[in-house]
This record gives sequence, C-alpha cells and structure tokens, in this order.
Amino acid sequence: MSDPKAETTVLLVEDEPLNTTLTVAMLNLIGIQRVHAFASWKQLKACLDALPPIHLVLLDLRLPDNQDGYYILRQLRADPRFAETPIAAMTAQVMPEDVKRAEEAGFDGFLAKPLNFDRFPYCIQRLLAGERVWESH
Amino acid sequence: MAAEIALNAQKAGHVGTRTGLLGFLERLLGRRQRSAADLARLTGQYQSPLGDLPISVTDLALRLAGQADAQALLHQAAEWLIERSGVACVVIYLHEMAANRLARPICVGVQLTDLPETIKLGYSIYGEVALGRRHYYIESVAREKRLAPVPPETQSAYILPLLHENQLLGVLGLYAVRPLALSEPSRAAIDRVATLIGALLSTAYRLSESQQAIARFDRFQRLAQDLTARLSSQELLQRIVEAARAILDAQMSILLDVNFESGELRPVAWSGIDRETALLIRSRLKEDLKGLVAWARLPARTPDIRTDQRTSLATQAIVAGMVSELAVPVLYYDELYGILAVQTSTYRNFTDEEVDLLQSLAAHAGIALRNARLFEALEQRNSELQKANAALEIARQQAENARAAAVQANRLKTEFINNMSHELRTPLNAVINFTRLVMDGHAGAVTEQQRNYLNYVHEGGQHLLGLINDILDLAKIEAGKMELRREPTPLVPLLKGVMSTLIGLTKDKGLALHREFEDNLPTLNIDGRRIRQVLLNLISNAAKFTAQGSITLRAVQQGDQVIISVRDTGVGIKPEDLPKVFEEFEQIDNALQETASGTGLGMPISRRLVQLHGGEMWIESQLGVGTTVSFSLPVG
Repeated sequence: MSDPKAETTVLLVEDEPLNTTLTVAMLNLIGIQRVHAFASWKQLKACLDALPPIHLVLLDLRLPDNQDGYYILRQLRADPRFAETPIAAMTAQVMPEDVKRAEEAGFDGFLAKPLNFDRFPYCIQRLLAGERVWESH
Repeated sequence: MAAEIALNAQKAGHVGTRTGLLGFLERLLGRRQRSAADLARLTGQYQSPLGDLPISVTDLALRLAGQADAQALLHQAAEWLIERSGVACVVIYLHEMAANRLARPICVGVQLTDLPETIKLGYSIYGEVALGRRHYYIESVAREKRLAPVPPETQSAYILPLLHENQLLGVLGLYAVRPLALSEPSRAAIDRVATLIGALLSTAYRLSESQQAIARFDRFQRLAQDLTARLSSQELLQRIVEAARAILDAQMSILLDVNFESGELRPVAWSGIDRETALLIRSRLKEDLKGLVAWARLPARTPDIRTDQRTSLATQAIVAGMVSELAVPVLYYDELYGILAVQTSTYRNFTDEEVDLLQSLAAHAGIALRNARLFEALEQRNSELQKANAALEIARQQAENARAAAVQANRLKTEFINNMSHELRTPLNAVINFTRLVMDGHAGAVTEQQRNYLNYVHEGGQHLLGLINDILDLAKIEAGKMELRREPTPLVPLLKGVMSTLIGLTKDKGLALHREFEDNLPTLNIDGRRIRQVLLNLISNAAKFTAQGSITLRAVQQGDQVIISVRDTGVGIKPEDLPKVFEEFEQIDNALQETASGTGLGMPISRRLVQLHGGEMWIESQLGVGTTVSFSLPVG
C-alpha cells in the first residue's frame, strides 16, 4: 500500500523564493511531493482552473500588489472547490493582533515563521486531518 | 402778675424756638452755638433803671434774637437806639475781616449822604476806633474836623467799636443834637447796648453761616446723589472740582493726583482755569502748600498765597489773580489719592465749616479716584489673565502636541518592532530550518565536524530568534497588549512537562534536576504557555550559572497561593547585584561569564508575566552557594 501522502497536494503562495524552496523541502521530507507554489495571486489566478484538487493551502500573508494572504483567502473561499479545504497562514507577522486577525479572517491554521522544524510534520498532519493548528511564536 | 406770666410765656416761646433751631444746627454742624437766650442772660446784668435813657438791654436782646440778617439786625438796633436814646442819627459800619476794612455802612435817623462806602482800618475817626478799639466821645463836633459827614446841628458824637469776644465786628457811631443824649451815663448804657449788638451780630453771622451751611449741605447732597449715578471717573472728578468751586464761591479749583514713587502731584481735573494753566500747576510732596497737605494729610488754608511762608518755600505756580487758597487731602480711609484745592481772587479767610465742606467733596473724589485705580487694576488684571489664558492655551497645545508626538513615537516604535520582527524572521526561517535539513542528513551525508559546525549555526539562529521573541514580548507587555489566555491548568502536569523538557539540558551539563512537589497541587486559572515560558527561563538560567551540583524545582501551596521556586547550587549573585536581575538588558558579571549568555530580557519578562497573573517574583542568593528564584501564583 502506497503512502497516502504521495497523493496529497499542497498549494503554496509565497513570494520569497528561499522560503518556497524551504517549505517544499520540508513538505517533501514528510512525504508530500505534490506542491504547487506561486509567488502572487496574479500567478495563482492564471492557473487556478488548471489545478488538481488541493488538500491543503499554505498562504504567506505579506504579498505584493495589495493582494495579500487575506485577499487570497477570500478569493479561494469564494471558490466552491476551496470551501472545505484547510487553509493555513504561514507568516512572520506574529504580533497578537496579527494572530487575532488571522483567526477572525477564517484561517484554519497559523504557522509562525521561522517554522518549527520538529513540530512542522505534526502541524501539517493535523491540518490535513481537518484540525485547527495555532502555532504562534 | 398776669402780665408777668404773659411775658414769661412769651420769653419761653422765644427760647423754645431758638433752642429748636439751634439744636438742629448743632446737630447739623456738630458745633456748639450760643443761643440768643444765653446772650440775653449774659447781658441781663446790664439791665438797670436809667432815668434819661430807658434802655432795657434785655428788651433789645429779645427783640433782635433770631435775626440772622446782619443788615436787618443792625437797622433794628439803630432804630431802637434812636427811639430810646434820643440821638439824631446812628451810623454802623461792618468790619470785613478778609479785606480788613470797614464797609457797608448803614445810616438810620437823619440821613447822611456822603458816607464813604469803605474805610480802611486806621483811617478817619471810624478807622481809628476800629483799629484801636477805643471808644471816642466827641463832645463838640465843631472841634473835630475829621468827623465828616455829620448831620446838621449835631453837637456831640460817640464813636465806638462793636466787639464780640475780642473780635472786631464793626463800628457804631451816634450823633446827638441834644448833648444829654450822649451824657456819661447814657454812653455807659450805649456801651452795654454795643456789647449786646456785638453779641447779636456775631450770633447773626453764625446763624447766617449755618443757614448757608444748610444750603450748601443741600446742594452737596444733591451733588452726591448725582455723582453716585455717574460711572466715568474722569467725569466724576470734573463734577467734584466744579462743585467745589461753586459751593465755596471760588474762582478756581483743581484736583491733583499723587504719585508716591516720584513724589509728584499732577493735575487730573480743574475748573475755572484753562488746560494750559492747569497743567502748569504741579507740586511735589512737602514742597508747597499742596505738597504739605499731601504730605501731612491735613487741610491747609492761606488767606494770601503770595505771602504765605509755606508757599514761599518753593516755587508754587500761582495763577494770576488768585489770592487765597484752601487745600485738603483726598483720602480713602488712610490712603492718600491726591489733593483738592480751591483758590479765590479775593482775600478770604476760609472757615472751619468750609474746610469741612471741601473735605466732604474730597472724600467723594477719594472714592472716585480709588474706583478709577481699582478699574485700572482690574483692566490690567484682565489683560494679564488673558495673557495667562493664552499662555495656558499654548501650553495645552504643546502638551497636546507632545502627547500626539509620544503617541506617534509609540506607534512608530511598535511599527518598527513589528517590521524588525518580520524582517528578521524571514531570513531566520531559512537559516534555522535549512541548517536542520543539512544537519540531519536530509541533504546528503554530513561529517561529525560538519554537524558540529552546523549545530553552532543552528544555535546562533535559535538565540537570535529567542532575542526577537523576548523583545516582542516586552513590547507587548509595555504596550499593554500582552493578553493572557487563562484556562484551568493543573499545575503538576505543567511542572512535570517543564522538567521533562529540560532534563536533557541538565543531563548534558552533568547536573541533577530534583523535584520537590506533591501530586496534590491545585489547578490554577493561568496561561499555561506563559507560566511554562517562565519556568523554562528560570531553569535554563539556573543551568547556565551552575557548574556542578543540582537544580531543584519546588512547589508548595501556602493558603490562597502557590509558591514555585527554582533553586540551584550555582555561583550565586552578589547582594548589590540582586536588584539588577529584574532590570532589562542587565547581565550580571560572574565567574561563569563564558557560559552565561542570554538576552538579558528573560528575567524582566518572567517577572512581568508573573505579575500579569497577579503574583510576584523574588530572588535570594548567596555567593558561591547558590540562587533561589521564587514566584507566587494565586489559587482560584
């Protein structure tokens, strides 16, 4: 029986290439090979219809063009395909008001940067299981 | 008998009337006046039966008492003399004290047409009698050529002074055709009549003064009522000087303001002179009559400004034509505001009553000047208040600006910290996690040495992250944004969790980690994550400063609180360094300097977190023996 994670598809929006590389490497490390990474909503939108079913969305919050993670969250939630998909913020904006805002915006998870290397696999598993994960710094 | 009673009744009636009027005047002027009845008693001693001159002095006294008009009185007296003494003509001159001359002659009986209107004292028979106050009997007018004019057929004449209390009031002249009319006994009787006339005349003068005083008082009352209705001080002062001039029949009046700093008296209101003249009238304290009045605060009067010794002391600006002066101080209670003066162009001795009157006016001027000064002071105070208000407004604005600047600065600080945190976390994310990827062999095999080096990189990154987190925590606490997520937390699992987290660390250092708490510790309503943070910080600190021995985590419930402490067998802290422990960015020097690294924020943050929970944190230490950091948490 093949690892079910091999089928897991993650959508990542992150404008910092280094972080994209890191996140992809860390996801790979826990067996998730299918990661669709975009640097902005503009890029994502262009390919949105071509995407396969997504099991988890990881959104950086601070993004260019005034189309930040919150904006993307609203766009995705408006799309029936993403209505039930776990969407987590992955951000270096970790002040209490940021955490609160993310919670109110309707994110399912909050992963503070720097990511906790040891807890990251556990967090992803829980998110995929449909549980809320709040890892502020 | 009946006639006598009637006479007494008549007398009583007269006396009663007199007493009533005089009593009123006494009350008015506060001065004792001699009544006509007194005079009658006084002169009664002269009453004697005279054969050829049936003169009853009392009769004359009763007849003339109460006559305030001097001229009328003298007319009546003269007629009475002609009737009773049998002389042909009676002449009476009045003495004008101010001018020191005889004037206003009256002539009764045979009319003399050429009587001089005035006679200077010392000139002619009348002038000599007046000056010498001697009685002059001329047995034969034919032999005294200086006596002129005389009625035709006059044989003898008797010229005598009218005196009262040593004061010359006039001169009485009697001309007789029959020599017997001026015989020695008759002259003696006439002398007594003259004494009576003098007394009556004096009374008449005073009566007339009193009546004048009443009239003046009336005018004054009306003026005072008028004045109080006025608001402008200058107008009021002008009215006062005009009133002073009018009431005292003076040619000019002036009000001077006193300036105590310069000692100068400066005209502020005047009447009877033009502005140019008025402005020339200046004085200095003590220097001339006005200055003396201001200095002594007493009234002063002079019948002749030009010869007055007080005025000759200094150069007083004498207005042309002015002769007499009366000056009074303008006072309000004891405070001197200036002086009020009147001057006359005729020679005049101002009476006490006139002094009183001017002083009454001056009192009104005092009130006016005081009001003017109060108003000025009020105006000044008003403008000062306005200035103070403006200054306050500026200060308020500055404070508001400062507050806004502080708010802005605080906002910028928060923004800066947030940005710094974000900007540092992004590269740290890569540094820490890529290091772990390589270190853990996920990017290919690593040598032992490579792993060690990568560990240093990782630790450096972790330290930097700890620093950032501490700064954020502190900023949050300072901004009051540190929110505790309180929830019922069983204490024992929390303590055990902390111990298991740190057991690796202590073991690596060769330190024992002891537990000193029972399993029955209560459940507390706390933010477990934050208390865990505090305990991790305290135990890592203890490990940092302890080379060998042990670290003990102790917890015990004491009443409504739980005391948790971390005890080590480390280097200890010098007593003088103990207070620094909770200060931000303070690192205590110690023998283990090499290993003692940290942000210097751990202890201050820990203490604040405990305080946020309503507890307190304290430290005890003995150099070379060890340190115990304790904190309390309320139960329930």
